[in-house]
Amino acid sequence: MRYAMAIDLSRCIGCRTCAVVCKDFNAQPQGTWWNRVFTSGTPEYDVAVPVNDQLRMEFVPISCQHCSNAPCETACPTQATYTDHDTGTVLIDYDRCIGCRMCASACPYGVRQFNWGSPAEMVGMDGSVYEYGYPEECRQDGHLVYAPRRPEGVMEKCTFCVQYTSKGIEPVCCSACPGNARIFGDKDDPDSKISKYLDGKETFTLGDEYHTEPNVHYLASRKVSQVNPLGDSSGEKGE
Amino acid sequence: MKNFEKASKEHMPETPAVEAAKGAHGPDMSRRAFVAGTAAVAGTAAIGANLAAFPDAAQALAEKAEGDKDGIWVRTTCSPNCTGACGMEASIKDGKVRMVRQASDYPYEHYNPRGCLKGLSINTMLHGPDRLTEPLVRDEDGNQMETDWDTALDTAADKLREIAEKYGPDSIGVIYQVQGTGHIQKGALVRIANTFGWSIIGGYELNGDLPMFWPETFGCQSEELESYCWEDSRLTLVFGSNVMVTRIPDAHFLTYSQEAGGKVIYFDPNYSASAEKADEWVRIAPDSDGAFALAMAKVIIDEDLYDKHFMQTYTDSPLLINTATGKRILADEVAGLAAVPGVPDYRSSFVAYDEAAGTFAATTPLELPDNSYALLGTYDVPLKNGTVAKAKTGFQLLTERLEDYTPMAVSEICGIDAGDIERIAREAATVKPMHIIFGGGTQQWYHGDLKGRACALVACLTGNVGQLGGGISTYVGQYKTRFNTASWMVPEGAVKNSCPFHYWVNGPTPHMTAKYPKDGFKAMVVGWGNPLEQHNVAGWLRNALETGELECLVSMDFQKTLTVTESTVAFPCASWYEKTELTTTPLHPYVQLQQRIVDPPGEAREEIWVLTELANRIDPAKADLWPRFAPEDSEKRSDEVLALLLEKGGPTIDHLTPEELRVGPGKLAHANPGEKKIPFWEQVNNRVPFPTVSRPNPLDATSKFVRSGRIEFYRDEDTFLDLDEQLPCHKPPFEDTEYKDDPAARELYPLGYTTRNSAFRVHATYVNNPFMLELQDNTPKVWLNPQTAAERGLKNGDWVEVYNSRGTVQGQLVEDPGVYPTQCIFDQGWWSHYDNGTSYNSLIWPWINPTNEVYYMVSVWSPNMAWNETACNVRLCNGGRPEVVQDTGKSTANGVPKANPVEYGTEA
Repeated sequence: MRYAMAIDLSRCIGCRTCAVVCKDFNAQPQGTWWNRVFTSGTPEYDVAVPVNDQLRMEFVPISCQHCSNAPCETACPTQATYTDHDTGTVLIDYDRCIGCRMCASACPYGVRQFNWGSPAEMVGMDGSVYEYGYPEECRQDGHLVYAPRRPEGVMEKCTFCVQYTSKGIEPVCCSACPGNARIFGDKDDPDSKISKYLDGKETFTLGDEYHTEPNVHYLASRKVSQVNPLGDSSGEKGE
Repeated sequence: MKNFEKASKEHMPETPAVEAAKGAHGPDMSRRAFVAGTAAVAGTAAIGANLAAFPDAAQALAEKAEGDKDGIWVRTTCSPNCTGACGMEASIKDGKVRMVRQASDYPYEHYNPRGCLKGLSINTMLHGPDRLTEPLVRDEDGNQMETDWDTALDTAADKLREIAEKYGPDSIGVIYQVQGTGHIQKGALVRIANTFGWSIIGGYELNGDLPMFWPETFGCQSEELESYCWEDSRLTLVFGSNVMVTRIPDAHFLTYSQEAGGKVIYFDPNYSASAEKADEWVRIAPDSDGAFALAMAKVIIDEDLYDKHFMQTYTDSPLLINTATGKRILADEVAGLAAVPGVPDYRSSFVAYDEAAGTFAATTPLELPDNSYALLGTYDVPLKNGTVAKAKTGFQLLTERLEDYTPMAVSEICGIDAGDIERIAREAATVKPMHIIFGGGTQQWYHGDLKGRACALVACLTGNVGQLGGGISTYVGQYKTRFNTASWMVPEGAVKNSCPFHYWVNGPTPHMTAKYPKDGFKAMVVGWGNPLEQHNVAGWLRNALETGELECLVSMDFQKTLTVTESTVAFPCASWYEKTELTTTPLHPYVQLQQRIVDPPGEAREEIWVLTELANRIDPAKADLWPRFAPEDSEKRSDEVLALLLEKGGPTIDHLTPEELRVGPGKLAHANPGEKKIPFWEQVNNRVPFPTVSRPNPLDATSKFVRSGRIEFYRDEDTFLDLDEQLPCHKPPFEDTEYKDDPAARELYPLGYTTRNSAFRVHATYVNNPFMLELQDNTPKVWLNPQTAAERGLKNGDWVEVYNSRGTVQGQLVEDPGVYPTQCIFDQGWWSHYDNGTSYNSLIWPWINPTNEVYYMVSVWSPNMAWNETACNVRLCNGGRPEVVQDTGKSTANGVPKANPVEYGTEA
C-alpha cells in the first residue's frame, strides 16, 4: 500500500481553501502553513506572470511530497522522521525530534517548518483565548505523529492528515477542495480513487532532479488561448 | 485496503445524546437523496430540533462531546452576504467551534463539497477579539459604553419613536442586507420596518447588484441558471465575472463543462484566476463589452445565423414603431383593428404585420403563440384618426442601429481584432447550449444596463433562452426571494416604504419616481451591514453622522465594525452558528437552515428577540404583532416562524418541513420537468407571457415593465427616447458622469478605479480573520500595470495613495502586467482600521441614470450603484507606509507578537 495524492492543476483555481483547512485542522500556529498555494513566477497573489508571449497565473499547491526516497529522513540524526511502513507516509515523531533542523535543510521543497513552541492559540473575545485544530494527540506504532500543542522546538509538516487517514478518512485538503482538484488514495490499488483518476492521464512530479520519488502527483493545467494578451499597451490608453 | 470516504461520512460517537441525530450524520445519510415533492426522511430528530426544545442544549451537547476525539459535528449554513449558502458542519469542543468542514450532503453530488476558505475558518471570528458581546449605547457627551439590554433597547426605542414623530416614520432608513441570506431573523427587520413604516433602503440597488437590463428587457428582477446547469453549457461567455475568485463553491461547474468538451471564453480588461482557467481570454477595453455584444449581434444577423422563430415569438422584434414619435403603435389606434380582448391595464395590445395574412394584426400580450409576423420592413399604417403612420418593426430599427457596430468599428472601441469578434460571434451562434454570465465587473457602470441589453440580445438571437445550460445570467448579490415571505415580513396593517440611498446623497432629482422622506433620512437602523465602511461615499455618511444630519444610528452585528463603534445604540447579535435562520441562494436549489451549534457569547442574543423587544418598547400597542418571549425562548420563536414561512411559502417551498431541514438541505420545486430549474421554461414551452414573478412583488406589479408580454429590446418611454437609448447601444465610460461633472477630471484622474472582490473576504466580512490576514501579508494592496506605475515614478512595494476629488485610499503597490493600463485595482472590503483610516469607498459616487428612474420598485427598478464609474489617479503616499495593524488576530504565543508578513507568499 502506498498513499499518494494527485493534484489536478486544471481544476485548481488557486483559492487556498486547502491551505486554510490544513492550518485549521492541524492546529498550525500563526506564521505556519504546511500547505501553500503559489503562483508560479511571483511571490504575490492575484498577479499575472508573462510566460513566453502570454500572461499566466499558474497555481501550484505545495505541501510535503511524501517522497519514497525522502532526503529529510536520511538527514535526521534521531530517526524522528520516518516512513510509515504500511502506507509510505513520511511522518515526524515529535517525541524524538530534537529540533536540529537538518531535515529542513535537506528538503528541496521547503515545506518543513519549525515550531518554537507556539501553540495554535489566539487572543479571543473579552480577554479569553481560543484554540483550533484536531484536539487529540495521534500515535502511530507508538510514535507521536500529531499533537494539538506541539512539544517545544520540533519540526512539523503535512502528515497526509494521519489522524484521519488512520481512520480511513481522506486528508482534509482533499475532502475540502471546492474544485475537487485533490484526489487521495492507495496508488498500489488499481481500484482506488486515485488510481482510477490518474488512469491514462499524464502526470509529473516536482524536483525530479533530486531523485526523491515524490508521492504527490501533479496533472498539468490546460493552456489558455489569449486575444490581445500583451499587445502594444501604449496604444491602448484611449479611454 | 482502506476505504477512503469524505470526512463527512465519519461515524458519530455512540453517546445517547446524539443517537437521535445519528441519522443526520451517519454514513447512510451523507448522500441522502430526498428531492422536491417527496416525503420527509422519517424518524430522524436532528440535533438542532432538540436544541430548540431545550435552550441549554448547546452546553449539554458540548459536555457530552467531551471525550470524543474529534468533538461533535453539527450542521449549519454559512451565509454571510454571499451567494454561497454552503452547508457546513462545525466541531464543538469545550463549548467552542474548533474546526469547520463542508457538510457535503447535497443530493446532487457535484455540489459537494461546497464551502470556501473563509467559511471554513469562521471559528477564528466566532471567538475572536472583535466579537461584539455587550450592548453599547452612546451618552449625551458622545461617549459609547457597554450597557444592559434594558437600557440599550429603551434608548433605541425612545430615539426612534421621537424621530418618527418629528420627521415621519419614513425618515428612518433600514439597511437589512438581503433576505435570501436569512428570512427569519433578517426577515424580522423587514417586519419591524413594515410595522412602523420605516423606509427600506434596498441593499440590492445600494450595492450595485441590480442588473437594470433585466427589468428593462425581461421585465423581472433577474433570472439565472443555478450553477449546476453550467456543466451543461457547451459554450460559456463570461463578461466581467471573476467566477474563480468570487464564486468559489460554484467555480468547478465551469471546469466540469470544460471537461465535458465545452469551452469558456472570458472577457475582462484584467487578467485573473478566471482568465487563467478559461479556454480563451479576451482582453477587452474597460466598459466596452456592450459594443462587443452588438458587433456579435450584427454578425449573427448579417450571416443569417439567428433564430427567427425565437425573435418572432418571444421578443418585441415584430412590433411596429411609429418612426415619427418613436412610440410603439397600439392596436386600438389602427384603422380596422382593435386590441385583443381581456387586456389588463398593465398590458397593451400592439401591432405587427402578418405576412401570411397580408394584413396588420393586433398582438396579444396574454400568450406567446407561433405567428407569421414580419421581422423586417417599413410600413404605412392607417390610423383611426385618418392619418397614416410611417412605421418600422423593432427588428428593422435594430438592424439599422447595428450598422454602427460593424466588427471593424467595434474593434476600435474594444481593442480586439475584427476577425476575433466575427469568430466568437459565429461560435456563439452555432455552439449550443450557449450561456452568458454577465458579471458585476461589466454591469456596475453608469451604462451597465445598455451592455446587459446588448448581451441579452445575443442570448435571444441565438435561441438559448429557456434551454437547459443556455441563456444569460447575472449572479451579483444574494438577491433572490425564492418563495412567498409575506406571512412573516408583511404584518397586518403594514406600511411599506422604501427609498434608494442615492437620493439621500444626491438629493431628489427631476426624474425621481421613488418617494423621498420630506426631511430626508434622520435615522438608520442597520442589520448585518457596515455602511460606514461599505457604502459608496462612506466618507459622506460618516460626515452626516458627525454633523448630526443623521441623528441616530442603530446597529445589530456580531463583529465590532466601525458602524457598531459609531452607533448610537449597538445590539450584540448571533452569528450563523448560534441561531435558527432560513436561507436560500440563486446559485443552488436548496433551502437550508442555520442552526444553533454554540450559544451566542456574553450578552449576544438572537435578532428576533432584539427586534420583538424593540417593537414592543416603541409602541406597546404592537404587542399583538410582536408577542414577547424570554431570550432563552428565541429558538422556540424562530421555529414558529420557520413553520409559518414553510407553510405559507407557496408551491416552491411548501412541500418542505422544519424536521427535514433540521437534517439537511431541502430542494425547492420548479415548473419544468427534470432535475434542474430552467429559467423562462414556462414562457418558452408553455407560452406564458413575460415577465416571470419578482418576489416579493405580485406579478401584476412588474408586468408593466414589458407591456407586450414579450422580451423587449425596444423601450419607448420618453426618457429612453430622449437619451437615444430606445435600443441597446454603446456609450463610453465617464462622459456622462465624471467628465460631465468636472471636465478637468479627464486630465486629473485618467485611471478607472475598480474595487474588486477578493478571495479573502465577502465584502468586508472576514477582513479580521487572522488566517486571511496572513494570506495577504496583513496589507491592503493597489494593483497597477507596470507601465502605469512607471509613468508615475512608482514601483513594486511603494506605499501609494489612490485619489480623486472625493477621497483617497492607501495601499502597497503591486505591479501586475495583467492589469489594463488605464485601470487601478483595489481589493474591496478592507476596514479603514487596517488602512491608515482611509476608505476605498470614499472615492465613489452614487450617480443616478435617468433610465433607472422611469419606474420605481425597490430592488427591481431603481437607481443603482455604478461602483466602476469612478475615475482616479495614483501617487506616492506622503506619509509613507504605516505600521501594519496588529491588534486583531493576535497569537497568544510569547515571542510571536505579530504575524510574519513574509512567511506566506514567498518562493518555496
